[in-house]
Amino acid sequence: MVPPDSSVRIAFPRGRHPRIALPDGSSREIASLLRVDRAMRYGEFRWNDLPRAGPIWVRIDLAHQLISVFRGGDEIGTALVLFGADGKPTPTGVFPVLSKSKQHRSTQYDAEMPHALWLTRDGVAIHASQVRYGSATHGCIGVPPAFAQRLFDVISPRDLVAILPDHSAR
Amino acid sequence: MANVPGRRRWKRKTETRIWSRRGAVALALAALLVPSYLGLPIHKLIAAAAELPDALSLFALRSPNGRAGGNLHTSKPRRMPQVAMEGPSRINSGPFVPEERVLAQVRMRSPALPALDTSAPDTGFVPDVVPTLELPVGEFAPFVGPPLGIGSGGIVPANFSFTDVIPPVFPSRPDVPLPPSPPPPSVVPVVPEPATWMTMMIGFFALGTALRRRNGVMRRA
Repeated sequence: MVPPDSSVRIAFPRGRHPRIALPDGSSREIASLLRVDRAMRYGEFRWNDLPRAGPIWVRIDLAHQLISVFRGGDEIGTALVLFGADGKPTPTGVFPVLSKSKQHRSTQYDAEMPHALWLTRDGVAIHASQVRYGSATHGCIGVPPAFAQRLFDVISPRDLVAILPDHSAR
Repeated sequence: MANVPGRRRWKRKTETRIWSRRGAVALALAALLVPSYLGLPIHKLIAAAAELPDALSLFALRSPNGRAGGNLHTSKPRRMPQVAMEGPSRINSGPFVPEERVLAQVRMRSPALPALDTSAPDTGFVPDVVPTLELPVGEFAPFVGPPLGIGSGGIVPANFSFTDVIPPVFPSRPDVPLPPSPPPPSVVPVVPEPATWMTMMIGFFALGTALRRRNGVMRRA
């Protein structure tokens, strides 16, 4: 087993793993989190995959504009995201990835949405987007393009994506 | 040789000497002093081992927290036809107000009505289009009146006479002009023409082709 690099990730000692709650009532055990000592900028992301097997799952915290990709209990990637504005809010809950589209072009919005991970049948996806301050989406989750490509490569259909609600919703 | 009692006692004595209390104290001192000798701050190591950061607070630390309000914009507009569909008239005002009106085609016909062909009254058939005749005014005076039944395609009984129904309202004199008459109702045949049928069928084929092609594109996407 590769020892975790303490400059990259914060490992919780065995037996004292915290559990974080998901919107469907379940909770997941966290073994380690990426070390980010300051607030990330828009479009910035961290990615540190571990050479071990484990189910991929994603936690999206709308209240903190955060996405966290986990492999088992270890966080392997995090970034700031865009999400839906007032008129078209992002749905919350636990969604399995329905399918993946490497190069999707939206016919509805006439825009490229590469590396799309479809969450709902009415078109909500995680896709690459220009993550900037003050931007929002029409309900999708927008992630930085390089992050979207890495996430696209590790995730597979039926992996779970948990979207936590935005408590500061107006 | 190996089972000599004295030799075994010496081994046990060595073990007890290593794990004596004095040895333990020396080991603990070494564990404390070696990191400080290498430059690692002991108190920070101890503090890091003692305090466990909360996972949720770690999440909050890396984020700018809630999204700022009031300055959101979406960069991807909808496609132009949908923008046109959701124009200001549909969004702002309550009831739907059309912006354009399509008027039905208005057909103009010359106000001079064709007169009845009264030369063959026995047939009782009123033709749709009657060629304009120069009536001998005065001779057939009772028939020149408000034209009723022209263009309706009705069939009049053979023994029907206009003089029984329509009184001569306007005495026909050369110096009195004829009154303006209302335009006749348009004639729509019940069975469409073959050209109309063909146009309609071509339209349905075009619709079906468009729908099939669109479904194929969406399936690929």
